Order: sequence, then structure tokens, then C-alpha cells
Amino acid sequence: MTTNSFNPVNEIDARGPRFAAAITSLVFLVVLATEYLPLLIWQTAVFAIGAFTGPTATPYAWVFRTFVQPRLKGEIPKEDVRPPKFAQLIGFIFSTVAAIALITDSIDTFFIAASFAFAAALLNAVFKICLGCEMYLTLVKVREAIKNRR
Amino acid sequence: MERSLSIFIVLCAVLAVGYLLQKNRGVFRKLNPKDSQSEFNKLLEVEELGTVGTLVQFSTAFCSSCRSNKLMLNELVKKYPGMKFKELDAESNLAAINKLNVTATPTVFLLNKTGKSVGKFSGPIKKDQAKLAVESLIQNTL
Repeated sequence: MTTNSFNPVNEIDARGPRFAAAITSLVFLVVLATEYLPLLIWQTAVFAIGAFTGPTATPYAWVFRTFVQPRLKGEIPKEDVRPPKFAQLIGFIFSTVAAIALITDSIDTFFIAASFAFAAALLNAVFKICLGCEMYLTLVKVREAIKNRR
Repeated sequence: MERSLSIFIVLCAVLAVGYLLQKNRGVFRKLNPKDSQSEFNKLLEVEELGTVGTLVQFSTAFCSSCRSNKLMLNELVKKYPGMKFKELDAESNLAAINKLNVTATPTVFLLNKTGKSVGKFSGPIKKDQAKLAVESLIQNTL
């Protein structure tokens, strides 16, 4: 018999990650159109901060807290910090692959990796779908299947 | 020109996929009659089953809408005597979720009083859908 063990470590304003996802999708749109490496490196760094420190530590979160949140009304929707942190990690992986591909002139790989990151950010911003979170259970199943094969 | 077209195609594909995913999320689906009772008997104690029905949610730590679902369903079951809500960790119950065909979290099963699943929701649940499903169970129309 297994029971659940959900003890939220930390809760954040759920609108923050969506705001960050909107900026991220714009950044990736520009990156895809221009192949501008410094902007891609900037976004990779933002993902790294979000993934390894927390989504509230990113520059986009600061913009949200300073300029957007004070203007929002109504009850603050809260969410566990772990899903957006995990999503930042997925974003970091795709963004890093895209940056390396761009540096090494592998344009097709760059386009695929950047498109995935763009798609994930846009789905989150427009439809509230956290692709990284949706993928989590599949990743767990794949990990288990590999472990069982050994 | 070719690059702009590729970006436009990606954009349209993402919006189409997002729309379709959004449309089907949180919608109640009746399940074909099959014996899921033994599976849920392994997961739940008898006293965890409601005398009318039970909502069982599979969650993970990295699930963005599990928390809001849980809060809403916890509130909902309070309004219906005999209904109970239980949250289970999908990651610790991989064998069960494979048998129950759970592919994403949150997935919520609606069980009848014997612990047999009569329907399920995937994704963030719409409150009116959850209410309708629970009321249908109570009125024995599922």
C-alpha cells in the first residue's frame, strides 16, 4: 500500500511562470528568425537560473514582481514551485542544445531544438500547458523500463 | 523567406496542438465496464472508499495543475455525503498506472461504492464537469 507524499516545499504566484513563458516565447521567436546567438545565450542563462536557483530568481520574475504583479487584482493563484522549476530545466536542455548547434553551425539541429523550446513556452503562455510537466510521467516510465531491462 | 515559412508552420502547429489539448483536458470520460476494482483495492484501504463514491487523483511532484485540482475536488466532495477524495503519487505506483493506462498527471478516476472505476478525467478538471459526474454517480446514471 502506498500513500501520497505531497508536501509543497514552496508556493509561488502561478501567474509569474506564465508571464515568463510569454517573454520566453517572444525571445525564441526572435532567435528563430534571426539566429542571434547572444540572445539565445541570454535565454539559456535565464533558464539556468530558473532551473538551478528557482523560477522566482530569474530576471523575468523580477519584472513580473516589480511591474506586473502590483497591477493585478483578485486572489493570487498559488502553485508549487517544483513544476515550473522542472520546466525551466527542460527549457535549459533544449536551449543549450540550440546554442551549441548554432555555435557549431548545425542549423537544422538549432532549428529543431529552438522550435521545441518555443513550442513549450508558447503552450504554457497561451494554453497554460506545462509541456515539461506533462512529459515528466513519460520520462519516469521510460527510466523504469530501462531499469527493468538491465 | 523559407525560414519565415518554417517559423509560421511551427507557430500554427503549436497553436493547433495547444487548442486540441486544451479542448480535451479535464473532460469526463465514461470508462468501458472492466474490472478495475482489484487494482484500486491494492491502492486504497477499505475505509478510504466513500460509501457513495471516491475520486482518486494520480499526481506527481512536477505536475502543475495537480494542486488546483486537489483543492477543488476536496471542496467538492465535502458537499456530497458519502463521497471521498484521495490523492496518490503516480511515481510510487507505476505498475498500477500502467494497468490503468494513466499517461499524464493529474488523472482522476471516479470510483463507485465498490471501488470500480466508472469514469476518468485527464488534466485540469472543470468544476462543472466534476460536479456533473459526481451527481450522475449518485443518481446511478453512470
